[in-house]
Amino acid sequence: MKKSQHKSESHKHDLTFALAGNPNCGKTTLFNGLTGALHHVGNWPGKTVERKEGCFNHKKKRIKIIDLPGIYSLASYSAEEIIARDYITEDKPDVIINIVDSTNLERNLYLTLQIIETGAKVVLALNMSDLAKQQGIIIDKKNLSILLRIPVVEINAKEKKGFDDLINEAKKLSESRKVVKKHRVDYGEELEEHLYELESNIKDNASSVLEYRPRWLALKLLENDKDIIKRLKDIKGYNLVLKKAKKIRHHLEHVYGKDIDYSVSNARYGFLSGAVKESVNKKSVGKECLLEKIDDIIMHKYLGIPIFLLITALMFYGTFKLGEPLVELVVFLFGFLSEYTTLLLNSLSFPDWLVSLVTEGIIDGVGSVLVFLPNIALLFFFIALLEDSGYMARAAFIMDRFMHKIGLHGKAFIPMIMGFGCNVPAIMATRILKSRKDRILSILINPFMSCSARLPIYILFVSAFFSNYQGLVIFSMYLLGLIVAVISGLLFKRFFFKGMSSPFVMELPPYRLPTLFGAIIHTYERVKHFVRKAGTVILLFVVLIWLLASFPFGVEYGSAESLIGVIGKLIAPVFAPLGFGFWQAGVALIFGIAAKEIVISTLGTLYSVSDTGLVGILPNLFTPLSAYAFMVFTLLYVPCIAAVATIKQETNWKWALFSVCYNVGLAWMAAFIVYRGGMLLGLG
Amino acid sequence: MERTLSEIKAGQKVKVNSISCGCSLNKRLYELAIHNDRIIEVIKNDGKGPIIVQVLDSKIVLGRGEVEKILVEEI
Repeated sequence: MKKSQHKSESHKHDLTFALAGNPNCGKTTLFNGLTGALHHVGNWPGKTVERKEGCFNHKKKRIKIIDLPGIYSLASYSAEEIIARDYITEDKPDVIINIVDSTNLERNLYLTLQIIETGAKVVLALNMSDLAKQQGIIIDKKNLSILLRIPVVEINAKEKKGFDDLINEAKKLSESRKVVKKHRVDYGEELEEHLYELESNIKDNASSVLEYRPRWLALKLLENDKDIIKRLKDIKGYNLVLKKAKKIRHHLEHVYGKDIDYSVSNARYGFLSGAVKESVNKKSVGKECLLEKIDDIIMHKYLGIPIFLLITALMFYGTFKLGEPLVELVVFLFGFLSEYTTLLLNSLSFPDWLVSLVTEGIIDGVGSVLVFLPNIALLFFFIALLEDSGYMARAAFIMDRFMHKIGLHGKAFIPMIMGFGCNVPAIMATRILKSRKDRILSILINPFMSCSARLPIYILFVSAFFSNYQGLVIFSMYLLGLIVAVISGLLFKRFFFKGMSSPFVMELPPYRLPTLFGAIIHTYERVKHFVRKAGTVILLFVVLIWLLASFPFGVEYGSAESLIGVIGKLIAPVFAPLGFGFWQAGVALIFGIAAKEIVISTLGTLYSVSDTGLVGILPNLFTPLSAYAFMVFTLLYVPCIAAVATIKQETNWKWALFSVCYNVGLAWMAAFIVYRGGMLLGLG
Repeated sequence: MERTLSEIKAGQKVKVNSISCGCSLNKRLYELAIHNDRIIEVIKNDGKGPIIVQVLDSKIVLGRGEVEKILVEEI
C-alpha cells in the first residue's frame, strides 16, 4: 500500500504529533502558537492542498507538528478529508491532537469519534474554553474524558494557555504502552452484526497487508467509501471482501430500505448527544450577542451587497495604491543596481555579453519577481483579516446569488476584482475557494481581467488613434475582458466540469477578532511560496528572453538580426490577417509575455524613439482598426509569464499550458473578428 | 404540515423529515448534524439565494438548490 513520503526538511525529531480539527476551531492558531514562525509550508504530495509542518522543543524532546487540513469528517467527501485520513491511518503519527471549539462541542466531537475509530492515540484539546465560559457553557472535562476514554485538556490557542498541559498529555500518551480500550460507538444490533461479519471476513482473507484496523475498514466498506474501495480493488484477497461488503450493503439498503450513512451518523450523534448532556452544563445566558446583530446589517437583503462592494474596493485600494510606492521602490532599486553593476563590470572590462547577461538578464529577472511581492503581501494580509474575522464566509453568502448565475462560487468575486490590479496575487487569491473545481475555473478566467500592466498599452494606443474617445475605448477593453471571462467560465463549466455543480454547503463561523500575528504569518507564507515556486520560472523565462534577444552575440539587443528578431519575422505572417503583420509587432508581443507593459518599451526600442515619441510613429504602422485589433490581442493573449507561473504553482503544468493555448487562440480569433469585421463594415 | 426547507421563514424552528440531495451530499449534511428528526432553526431566508440554518451550536449556509430537496415539518 502506498505510503506517503514526506521527507521532513526540519531536523531530526523524537515525536510526531498531528493536529486535526474542524475548520474555524482555532487549529491554525494552535499550530502557529506551538511552532512560532518556524515552519515549513508545502503541498501534500500530488495534491494542491497545503501542508504545514513545524518543530519545537519541549523538555528535551524535539516534537514535529503536522497541521492536517480542517475537516468535518474522515469520509472521502473532499481531498482534504482523504489527506487527513491517510495521514492518520497510514503514516501513523505518535499522537493526534484533536482540537475542538468548546462553544460548538457536539458537532466538533463528530470528527473526534471518527479519529478514535481509526485506532489512533488521541488527545482532545478544548479550545476557546474562556469563550465557552462567557457563554455559560461549563464543560466537565473529567467526565468527558471518561466517556470518550481519551485525555481531555483545556486550552486557549489565542492566548497560548494550556499548551504545556496539552503537550505533556500528548507525550504521556505517546509513551504509554498500555492498550486502552477505546470507546466504541454502538451502531445498533443490525449494523453491528454485519460489521462483525465483515470484520471477520477481512481478518480471514487479507489480514496482513494493511495498516487499517479491520473494524474501521469494515465500517468504511459498509459506508461505500469510494476512495477506500478503489484502493482495495487491486490488493490480493480483497476481492472476496469487497464482494461480501457489496452483498451486505445491498441487503441492508434494498431489502431493509436502510440508509446506511444515516444509520451511521445517527448512531454517532446519538452517542454524542448523550455524552454532551452528561458532561456539559449550559446555562442560558439569554441576551443576544452584539455580534449577532451585526449580521442583520452585513448580510442584509439590500445593504449586504453595497457593504461587500465597499470592502472589496477598500481592499483593492489597499493592495494596489498602498503597494504602489513599494513597487516603485523595487523598480528604482533594481534600476539603480543594474546601472551601477553595468558601470562596475565595464570598468573591470568584462565582455559586453556578460555585462548584459548580469544586468538585463539576471538583475532584471530577479527584479521582475520581486516587483510582485508588495501586492501579494498586502492582498494576502487583507484576505487573512477577512477570513479570520469571519467576514469571508459572509461575502460568499452575499454574492452567491449573482456568481451562481455564471457558474461560480460566491467568493470567486474577490479574485476576479483583484485581477484588475494584477493577475498574480489574484490567481493566488483563489485559495479562498475550497473546491478544486471552483478554483481551477476561477484561475482560468482570471487572466482576462485586464490588469494594470495592460493599461499603459491602451493609453498609448488611444492617445495615438482615438484621442476623442479615450475613456470609452479603454473602458471597452475592460468590458471585453469581463465578457470573455464570463463566457469562458460558462464554456469551461460546460465542457470540463460537466454536471459537477458543486453544492453550496458552508459553515458560517462566528465573528472573531483576527490577530496581527496570524495575518502576518499567513502573508509571509504566501510570499515565500510565490518566490520559491513561481520565482524560479519567471527568472528562467527572463533569462531565456535575454538570450533570444542577444544571440548571436554582437548583434544589437532585440534587433532584426537577433534570434528574437528572426522569430519575429517568422511569426509575422500569423499576425498579418489581424492587421499588424510586421516583425516588430511580433517581437514586442514575445517580449510582452515577460510583462505586458514591456510591449511599449520594445516598440520604442525597435523604432529608436522614446515612449512618447511612439505616439507620433504608430499611425505609420497601424490604422485605427488594426490598432484596436492589437489592443484586443494584447488584452487576451498569454497572460504574462508571472501569471502563467502562478497558474502552474496553483494547479499544474497541464492547466498552465492549456491556459496559454486557449488565451492565444482566443486572442487571435477576437483580433481577427475585430479587424476583418471592421474591414467588412468599411471601418478600415 | 410537510414543506420544503426553502419555504420556511426566518425565526421558525422545524423538524427535518427527509433529505434527498444525492448520496454524497446527504452524507455531508448528516455529518453536519442535518438529518431526519433533527430540529433546526431558520436564521435567514430572503426568498432567493442561499439560506442560513442553526444546527446544534453552528450556523450552516445551504444553497437554494439544496434546501428545496430537504423536507421539514413545522413544530
